[in-house]
Amino acid sequence: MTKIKQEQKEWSVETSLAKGRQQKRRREAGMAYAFLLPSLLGLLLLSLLPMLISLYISLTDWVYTNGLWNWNFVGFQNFIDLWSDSWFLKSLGNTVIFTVVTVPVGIFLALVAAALIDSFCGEQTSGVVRIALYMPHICNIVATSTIWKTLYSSYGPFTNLMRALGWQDPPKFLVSYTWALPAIMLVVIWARLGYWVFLYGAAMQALPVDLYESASLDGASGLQKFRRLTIPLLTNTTFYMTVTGIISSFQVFGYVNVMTGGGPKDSTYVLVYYIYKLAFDYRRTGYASAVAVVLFVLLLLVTVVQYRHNSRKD
Amino acid sequence: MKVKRAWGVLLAMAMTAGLAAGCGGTEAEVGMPEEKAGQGDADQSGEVKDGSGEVKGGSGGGEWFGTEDGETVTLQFWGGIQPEYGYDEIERNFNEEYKDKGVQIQYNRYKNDTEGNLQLETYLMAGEEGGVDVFIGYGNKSKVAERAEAGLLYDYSGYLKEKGFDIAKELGENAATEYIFEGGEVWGLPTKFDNGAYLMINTDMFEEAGIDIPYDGWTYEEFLEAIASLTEGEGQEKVYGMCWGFDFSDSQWRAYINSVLGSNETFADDSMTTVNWEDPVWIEGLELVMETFEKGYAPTLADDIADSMTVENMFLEEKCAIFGIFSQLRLAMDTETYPHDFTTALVPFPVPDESFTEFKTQAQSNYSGDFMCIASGCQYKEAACEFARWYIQGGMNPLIKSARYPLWLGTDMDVILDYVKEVAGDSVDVTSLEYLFGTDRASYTKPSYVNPKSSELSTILWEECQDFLYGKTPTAKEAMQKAAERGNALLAE
Repeated sequence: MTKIKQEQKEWSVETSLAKGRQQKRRREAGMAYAFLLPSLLGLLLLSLLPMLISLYISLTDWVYTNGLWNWNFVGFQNFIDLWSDSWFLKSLGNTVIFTVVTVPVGIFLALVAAALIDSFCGEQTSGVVRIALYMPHICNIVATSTIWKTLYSSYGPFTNLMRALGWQDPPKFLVSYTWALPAIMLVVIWARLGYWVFLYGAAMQALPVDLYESASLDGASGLQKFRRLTIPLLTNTTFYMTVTGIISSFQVFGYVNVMTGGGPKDSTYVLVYYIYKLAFDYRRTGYASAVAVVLFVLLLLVTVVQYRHNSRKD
Repeated sequence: MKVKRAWGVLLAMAMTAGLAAGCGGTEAEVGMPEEKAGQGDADQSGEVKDGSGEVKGGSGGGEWFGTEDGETVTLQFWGGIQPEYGYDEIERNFNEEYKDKGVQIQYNRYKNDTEGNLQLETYLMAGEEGGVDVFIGYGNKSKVAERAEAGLLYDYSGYLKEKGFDIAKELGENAATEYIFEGGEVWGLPTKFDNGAYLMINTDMFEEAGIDIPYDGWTYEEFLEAIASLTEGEGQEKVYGMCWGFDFSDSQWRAYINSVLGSNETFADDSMTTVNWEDPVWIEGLELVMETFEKGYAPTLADDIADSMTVENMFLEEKCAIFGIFSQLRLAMDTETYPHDFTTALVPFPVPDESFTEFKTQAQSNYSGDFMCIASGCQYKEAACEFARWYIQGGMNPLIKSARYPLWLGTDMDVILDYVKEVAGDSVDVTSLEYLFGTDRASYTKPSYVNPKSSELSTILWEECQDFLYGKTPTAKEAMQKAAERGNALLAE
């Protein structure tokens, strides 16, 4: 009898302990949700909901000034029309060129710069150089674009530098059908360089020193160590930079809007600039949303690749 | 533990509230237009009207425009001009005149560009909460029609009828034909007349070069001869005969074509199914621009855009003798901010040849604009209508400082000229204004077309013109053919 009572007592203690643990867990979960609530609300209201609305609008002929619900459902007509729209095709082509050039060139320059800083600069000097390189990344896009417009003008410092380097008759970069897009690419590479140098710099400092020591003992030269050790060991950083670089290149807008306004003619049209023109100049909000959906799908593909890469790594 | 939990919940609530505040925001937080003028004159609380002004909101014809419980209302009035060029004075005058009638205004400046108009429309879409009651809209009839269709504007035809405001008599037959919409609605009335096809010229430079001022108009040939004589020097010292101002605006340079083709600058006819860009006037016009580039009489399109030329400053610094953007006369009149000692005259754009005599004096190439519109979300419609009427019928006169002349036919133009003399002194050639004011103001509203594809057509036209002016397309004819093909294809969609 006593044994039964004892067991009942133990069971009751265990139950109340379990209850207590459950309550604690619930409380903690509640707290966690309370802290997450602002971010979740933000994500829901400012990202997910507009995304869904935008997806729906892309199937309509909506004009934003008409207010919500004042639209006609046109099915996939906007998506069909895109492929015969020369402005869209030009924008898509330019965006792809922009990405294909700025990302690899930017990464290459960042890698070289980070390696040089790592090898030749002392602790203090490297900090100063990194900060100097990083400044353009945190500067206002409108301000930097305006400054670059001046640098690129007929007698601006950049054009004069080209003359000094032996280019007899440099073009007026921002009004040249050939040079306007590369001119903007250069500015974007310059603006991103510091951030990427920072990322590479941090990654390089975390590289295992013993590997380099043993490579030195084996008689590897500096260049060989860079090619055979540094580059492979930085693969994850490079991959991260490639993905984020592609995403940000696909979203470029401010530099184009301020420096060329898409011109000359349509030679610097990019997708986001075209979305802006469609939505606010031409008031074709539904059609602009269709372009935005195409952009979203392209970026989603890039993100999926990154996600799979990370999963494989895990 | 309890305290910790309470703090946690409190913090989360604060963060959520912060987020919600970020989403909504007060007027100040979301950013009002860049300038506010004369806030001190506007009285939100106001005074209770005494016995004489008992007619209250909505009945019309009374002297009290405030709320039924006797509070003065303040209308938010938006316009695209800096307040110091006339709107501060308008605000002061109205607020003084209506201080006992229950209505005051507060002027807010917005920028008349894509971003500025987007801002205005966003505020209009917010309805009563939007903070826009009355505004001056720019652009053409299409813009007014688009906003009306979107339900952003209030139709004030009823008020005008009630007040006996006959648009044909007050603003001219053309204004009545153009701006009373099919169902009799009035969504916006033009308030100013001017002529986009007028050039600003430096009369001192003309005199020095021995060229008569072409008050009565001139041909392309005479124009080219004149700018050849006016062009001198090289490099940094060069003085151009003409500045087109492409960086300033990519469409205003076309005014000299518009001055001849009028409403048919874009569309061939009322059906709006084909564009009129293959008209010889277009081709000759483009060739004229190219000739001014090739002979060095004007900065090229590439120079203008690449160097972000502030051609208005070049004109004021006497680096060019003729400047194609009439609205900038306000800078020429403002010798305090822009010191200079020469006189500026307005002369018509040249026409292709003598056969265009009827357009030479610009009597046909008139233009009106600055549409007085009332927001559909305005809570105090009668007060807004009263302000609109007051503004059109002489209230806007201080805008002479910004070279905006009232379209209202009741305006005593001699008073306007006296005002110009007073404000501008010798900086403006009054004789040239007499020519401008001497034209038939009753016809100062050009017929215009409402077409939802106007903006895209404008982009196509500018793209093909660029191809020619940058030398990608060899001839003007070819460029305009390409433009017409693309334009017609767009219209056919």
